[in-house]
Amino acid sequence: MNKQLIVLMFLIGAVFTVKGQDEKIKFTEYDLSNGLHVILYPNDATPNVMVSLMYHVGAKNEDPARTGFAHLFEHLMFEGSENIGRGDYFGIVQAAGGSLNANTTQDRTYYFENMPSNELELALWMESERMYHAKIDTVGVNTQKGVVIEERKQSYDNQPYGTFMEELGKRAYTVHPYRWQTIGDPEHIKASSFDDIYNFYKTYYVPNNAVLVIAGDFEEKQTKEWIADYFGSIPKGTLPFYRPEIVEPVPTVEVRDTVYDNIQLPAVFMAYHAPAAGTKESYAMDVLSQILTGGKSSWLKTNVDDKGLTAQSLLFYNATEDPGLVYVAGIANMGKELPEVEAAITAEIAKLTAGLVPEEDFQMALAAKEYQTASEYKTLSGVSNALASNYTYLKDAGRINKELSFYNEITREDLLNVARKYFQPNSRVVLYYLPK
Amino acid sequence: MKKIIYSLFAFLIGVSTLNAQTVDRSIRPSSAPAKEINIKDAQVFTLSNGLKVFLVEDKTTPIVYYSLSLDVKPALQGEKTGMYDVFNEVFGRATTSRSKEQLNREIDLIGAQAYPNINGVYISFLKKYEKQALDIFSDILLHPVFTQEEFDLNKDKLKTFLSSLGDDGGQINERVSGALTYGKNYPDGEVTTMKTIENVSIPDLENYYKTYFAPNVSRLVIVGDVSLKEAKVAAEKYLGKWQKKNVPVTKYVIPTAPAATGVAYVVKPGAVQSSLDVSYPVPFRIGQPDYEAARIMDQILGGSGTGHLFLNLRETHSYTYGIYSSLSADELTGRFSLSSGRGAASVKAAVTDSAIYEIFHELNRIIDEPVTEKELQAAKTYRAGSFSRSLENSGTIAQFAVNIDKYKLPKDYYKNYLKRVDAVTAADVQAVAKKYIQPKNAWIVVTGDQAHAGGLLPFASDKTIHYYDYDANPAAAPTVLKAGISSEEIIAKYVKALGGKDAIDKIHDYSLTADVSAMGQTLTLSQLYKQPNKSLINLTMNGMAIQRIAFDGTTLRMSGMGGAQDFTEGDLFDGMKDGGSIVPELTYAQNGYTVEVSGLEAVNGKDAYVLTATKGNNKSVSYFDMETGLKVKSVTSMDTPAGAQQTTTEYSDYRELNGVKFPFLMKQNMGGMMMESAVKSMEINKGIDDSKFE
Repeated sequence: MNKQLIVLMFLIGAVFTVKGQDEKIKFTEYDLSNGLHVILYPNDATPNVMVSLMYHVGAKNEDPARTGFAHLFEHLMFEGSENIGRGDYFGIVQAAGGSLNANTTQDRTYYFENMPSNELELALWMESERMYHAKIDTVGVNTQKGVVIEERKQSYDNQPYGTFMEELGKRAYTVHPYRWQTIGDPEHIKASSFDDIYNFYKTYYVPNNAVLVIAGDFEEKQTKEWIADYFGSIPKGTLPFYRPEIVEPVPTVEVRDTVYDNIQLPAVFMAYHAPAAGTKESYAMDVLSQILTGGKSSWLKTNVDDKGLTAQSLLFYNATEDPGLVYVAGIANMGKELPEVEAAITAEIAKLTAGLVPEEDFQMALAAKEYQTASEYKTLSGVSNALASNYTYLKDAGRINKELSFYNEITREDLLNVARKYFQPNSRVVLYYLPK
Repeated sequence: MKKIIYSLFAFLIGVSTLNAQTVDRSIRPSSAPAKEINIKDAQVFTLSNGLKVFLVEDKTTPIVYYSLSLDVKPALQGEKTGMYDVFNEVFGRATTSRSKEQLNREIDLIGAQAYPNINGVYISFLKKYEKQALDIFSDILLHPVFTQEEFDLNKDKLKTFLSSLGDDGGQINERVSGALTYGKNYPDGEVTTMKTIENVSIPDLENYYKTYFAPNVSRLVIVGDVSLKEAKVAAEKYLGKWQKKNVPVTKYVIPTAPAATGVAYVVKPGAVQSSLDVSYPVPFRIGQPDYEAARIMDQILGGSGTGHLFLNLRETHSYTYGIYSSLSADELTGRFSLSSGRGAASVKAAVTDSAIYEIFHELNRIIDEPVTEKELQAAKTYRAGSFSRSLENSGTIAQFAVNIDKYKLPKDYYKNYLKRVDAVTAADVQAVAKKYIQPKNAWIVVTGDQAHAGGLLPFASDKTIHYYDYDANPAAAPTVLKAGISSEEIIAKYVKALGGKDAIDKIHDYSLTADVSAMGQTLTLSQLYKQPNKSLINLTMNGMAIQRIAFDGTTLRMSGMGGAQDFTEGDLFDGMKDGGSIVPELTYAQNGYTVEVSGLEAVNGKDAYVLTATKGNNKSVSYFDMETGLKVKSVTSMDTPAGAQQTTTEYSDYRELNGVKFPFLMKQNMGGMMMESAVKSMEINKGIDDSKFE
């Protein structure tokens, strides 16, 4: 059986066996008069409920002399409030059978609790407490500064190649705040003052800068009442948000550098500029990255990894609110030289700009996206995150149900155009990581 | 009652109308009645070849998965350890009818995820591609080909991985901890090395496949939108012809905990964090009567961000980003160990010994003190909540059915889970702590810079640090650990090198100025000293005062641009009072410092004696050149409001004045900030008035 026949068979098979899998994710949304956006996604498959709050603030809103602040702040938000004692936050949620966490990116900060459904009111109270009147004292600030600095060591400094995003970012950008990373500079973290913390809180941790998502097993009417009770009384923020409207000029000269790290295997890291989240270009870039690095037969796996050139190669594109970066990495296999690795990776990227990608590779990428989307929406946390992100960046939570169609609208010509626009050798950064 | 009225009120005025305060925020909302957790049953059937199938029907997602797992006890790998690792990468990558390229493209065309490995095969796919996916699944499982090309490629990659181990202290620590905990004659304790990997060949992989892959020792889990009828048809169609066979069973030597607690140290030069573990094997198995009590105990000790370990080491001391304990159950033996949640636990290097001290404090506390009723209740509710949340994934139901089968549990084992959790008492928790927490029979395993090994001696029952290499083989202690000299002798040698005690005693006062360069700036430092420990330091930049530190023997006064502050006690004060003389080492003993020789270490390529002096939170490690006797380096740690601060100072360019040598060049490193001070002028015994030091 030749290959074209196999493809044809798969495609035909898919058409005939599709059934009932286009079910929409049904949710409702509304605003409180203080500007808090609320999204309700009922799903009573199990007696659990997820409460999440996404604040539209991340590292890109930071003062360049206070990097790492948004993330330090995320840690401080677990310290307590007027009605929740210092250090009790985790304990209260866990004693109610829930789990909780938070994370910070360059664009937003996300807090969530996964609770048994009978503890929904508790979770709403707790999230509203820290939005309304979080309480932060010097002991907490000093402890969390220390914890964040250890986090930086554990996750970045003491990790082989752990600084590559930081090293690429500061060379890829000259003016945009994406030039620093969310974890920030330890000196800035140490130096942040109480005033910095207070101002940040008053500016960004306000209802009109947040979206609240309730997903899971809950009674809608009662839930709306609780939301009104606990969040309705929080005053709208009045301080201006700093939303950088800085456009990074497209670089015209390749930047090359060497970083010496505690590593054994040399590696090459590259960054190309990439489109912003939600744009048609960003879906195309996502498909391109799938073709290069997604499946078992993706180009980098087949033509670089499986040729024994690299211990591992990969391409990583995670769309950001402002135009971001697509990262490419190749860790040299034993005895292989970096120029050889770099050339092999660059050759694969160059194929994307030389002409249309083969139809079969394109279909593989789309099949992968369909699987990934279904997989993401299997869980309350996947749905909550998608609803919150779509609202935060694009003010349209409903995009969650159009996600696949955005991919399906892409043509191979679009892929070629986006590849040619962004995979420019002259606007990239190339870093060689060498053993110290 | 109040709350109900408030809610009603809120309802009456409508959700969109805002009122200043509709609920009493100071009252924590109470729980609504808990909903019952319904646990579906998996459907179980067996094919005529002995393959047991566990189906959980889930119509809420278009994703289906098939997961086949072997339940075997294979022979040890021994001299061929690493065979499993290679098998994982080569098995299922090509079949008798599909080349690697063909197989990969067919999998990608349906966007499926396929993971063949030594324990079986997993495939996950969209329901609409079921036929294609199952055809691939059974082909991988029943007709694999182990090609030379794939074998060579992956053996090479494994060697590359092994060569890069030195990058990652956490991975090294996990290797060594596993080997010590289980012993190298137990499957989980075998260590893959460059040497053993060379012994692996393709026939080894083929032989493993032929010996252990059989339907009668396997379980197949199916989860997704698949009915029982569909599952039966599919299982029969794709795996019904798989032949059963006799599979040998290996009897392993079950590992036991060490007779007394020992310290194992792996040297990773320059590590800024130490990776650490406290680990031992312990008989602990799913289904034991005290299983739930033990899990609750583990939960309270270190199961989460409210565990004793986390609260102590992270929230109180900022030693680490995260630390958790794990009492894990397995069929033949369980294990107690620590982790960071994402790999080996790690702490900042300078507090390695303190971290171990606090860990043992918590291990002993959970044994000695009953947990509070509040803690117990919280842990029970948390476990109930986690249980409920785990059901969001239908695979959990399948796992329950597999466990019931594998561990011969009662059919209603998981239906009664919450009842068993609820029945646990504080006395039960203390009883299981005594039984399963064994601080006296554990391995302390640390991977870190050599400088921090000595501090672990107090924890070693045999008063020895056992060194290991990256492959968990015993290694010689790095350099000569024993200095062969007492602290008194080192200090005496130092004093003599400086010019002798008489000459030092004759220095009544001195004044000096130095140029200080830091971060591209040049500052001026002037210092006055008067016996016994009076001191004044002024730091200026272009004539502008930056910082003044004055100590008159009773009060430490620090003033700078941020205002002035006086200290008459505390670590900072002690540091100034005790360290203010020309040779503070001479008065360590009378000032209450614990002084010990920590060994020999090279400083800038020359051997130096290492002397550690500790008092409260003040710790100072000094390095004295073996040949000249002079102090060449010191590392001082102090707890400050911003966390523990560590300063490294290197002394050089000693010059003699009035018969005493003083270092004229000092290079300091404070958390990455470099500072260099060069003395420009120094005058001795010119007479300084006491009032200068106020």
